[in-house]
Amino acid sequence: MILWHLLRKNLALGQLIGYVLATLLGLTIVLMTLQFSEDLRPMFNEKEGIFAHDYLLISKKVSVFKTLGITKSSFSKEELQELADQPFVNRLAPFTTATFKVYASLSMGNKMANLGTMLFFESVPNSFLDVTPTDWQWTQGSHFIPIILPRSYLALYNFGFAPSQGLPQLSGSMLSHINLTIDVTGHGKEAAFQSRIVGFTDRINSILVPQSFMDWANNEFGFGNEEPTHLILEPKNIADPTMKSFFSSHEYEVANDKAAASEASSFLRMLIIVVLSVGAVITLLALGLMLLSIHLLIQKNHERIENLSLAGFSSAVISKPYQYLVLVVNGVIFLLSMLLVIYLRHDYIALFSSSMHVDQARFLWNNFLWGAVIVAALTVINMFWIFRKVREICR
Amino acid sequence: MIQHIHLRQVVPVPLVETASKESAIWFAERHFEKGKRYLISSESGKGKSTLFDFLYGRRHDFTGTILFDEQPIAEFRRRDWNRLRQHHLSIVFQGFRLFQELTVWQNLMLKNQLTHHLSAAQLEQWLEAVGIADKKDTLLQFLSYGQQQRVAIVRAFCQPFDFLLMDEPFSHLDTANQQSLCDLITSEVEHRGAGLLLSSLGDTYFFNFDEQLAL
Repeated sequence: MILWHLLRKNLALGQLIGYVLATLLGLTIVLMTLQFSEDLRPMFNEKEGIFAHDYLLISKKVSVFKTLGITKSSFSKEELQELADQPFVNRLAPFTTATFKVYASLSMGNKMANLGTMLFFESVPNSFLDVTPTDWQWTQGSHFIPIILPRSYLALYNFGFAPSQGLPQLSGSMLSHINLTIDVTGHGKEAAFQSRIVGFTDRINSILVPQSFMDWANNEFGFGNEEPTHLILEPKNIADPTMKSFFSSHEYEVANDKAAASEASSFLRMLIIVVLSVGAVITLLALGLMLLSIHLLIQKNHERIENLSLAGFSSAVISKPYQYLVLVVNGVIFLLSMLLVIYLRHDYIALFSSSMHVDQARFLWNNFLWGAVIVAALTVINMFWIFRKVREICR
Repeated sequence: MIQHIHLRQVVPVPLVETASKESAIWFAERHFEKGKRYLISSESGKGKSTLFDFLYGRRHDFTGTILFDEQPIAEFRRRDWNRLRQHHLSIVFQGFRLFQELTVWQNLMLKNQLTHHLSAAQLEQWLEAVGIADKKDTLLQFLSYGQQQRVAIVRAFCQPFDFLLMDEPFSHLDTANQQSLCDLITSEVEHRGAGLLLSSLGDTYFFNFDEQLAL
């Protein structure tokens, strides 16, 4: 006690508060960023996140020759095999295009009004879809065909077509309650099916029906499955450079539906790294500030420390009051920082809750550990520094 | 336990050129025995304080060898010096090296908490004996120089010792006070069977020295 009474002289409260605030800021930024990236991790997740697989849509370039039918715009079996054999391909599937005519009409029940339009159908294997609605199946003999529509079509209707035509805007769930009649004709046959929009896709820009229906209907009403004109491809690594050169050498056109999302993802990652570094730098500067203040404090108490040493006090004993001070201050910083992280996280979860789901329970106990490790490291460095500086004075 | 101190051809590095060859200590074979009293006298600047700094491990810039019980003190580590300063060597510095911002009592307790040598009652008795009992809770900075000198002497008793080193301890005391303090110190040193090394500008005060050495 007397020792503390003696050694606290010249303690600069301002410097101490400065250290507390700076370290608190740096540590909170670091921990907040870690927590934030942990909360966002499901979105980066390979399997389910919004930045999940990158899919590429491959087609051939349309040229005058192709329009004239001199060269084919479809993929032959050999071309498909060649592509499938490329090392960058994880999996690959052709789009199946309907080779029959489709007419969709809106039945209002009493047949007072009958809105209808020609349509086209395409299909891809189910495993390439980003949605799997419950009604998404067709078996032979069934009179119900489920349809998946690109979400962009709905947007196009709601924000483009509907306002200009004075039509009401529709939500996805409203649309999926509308019963459609599908008339299929071709090969001298015709058939009528009931239909409904069962889901919306963000991945594929086409009107989709189940593959099973397409295979059956193409044989029944068309002339079998044609060679595909475009393909969906899941690469092993979207950034693979050999992929790009392969496509350009074969004059294939590539549309990447996830390009924007992928850019956003990498941008976000970069942002997290930058913010994390800023936090780390602030923490390091705060540490530097503290080491400097300790040095100053011990120099100011030079004579007291020397006299204590001459009275028989060891460097370790003289260091203790300062080391306890650092321990307490860093403990307070740790607790404050944790409270801040919890509070801020609560805030941003509320902010994001409309656009994404953040697992509340996912609070990082790891994060707690990280905080503890950083604070412990700071404390150890400070304590060692105190001991060293005191020892320099002791005789 | 230090039974005797042996100086072999010791001279402070800064005084190598100027130190007198007639000196009883510098460049000489010199022994200090536990239980004996030595006066080291000289005019200023001959290295009285420096000698005490060497013996107390505060300075190490000397040539020759200093041995405690035939062990060279140059080999001592910090740990050894801390132990010596707590149990075997006590000193009254010329400048006291007390803590101005602490009270008299705190100054004594600081040392005594380290050694647990005296009880609170014994400490009070010592303050009484040197005549500053009424200053117990006064901050040291409000004490006169002579009063501080007495605090430093009491503090030196707050530990066991084999040798007591006193560097011009009575420079600001009147004769009556000097005499009473000398009696106290003599009886305490005798009681403990310790050696005394006392430096002065030539004054022998009221001690019976076994040897008087001129630097």
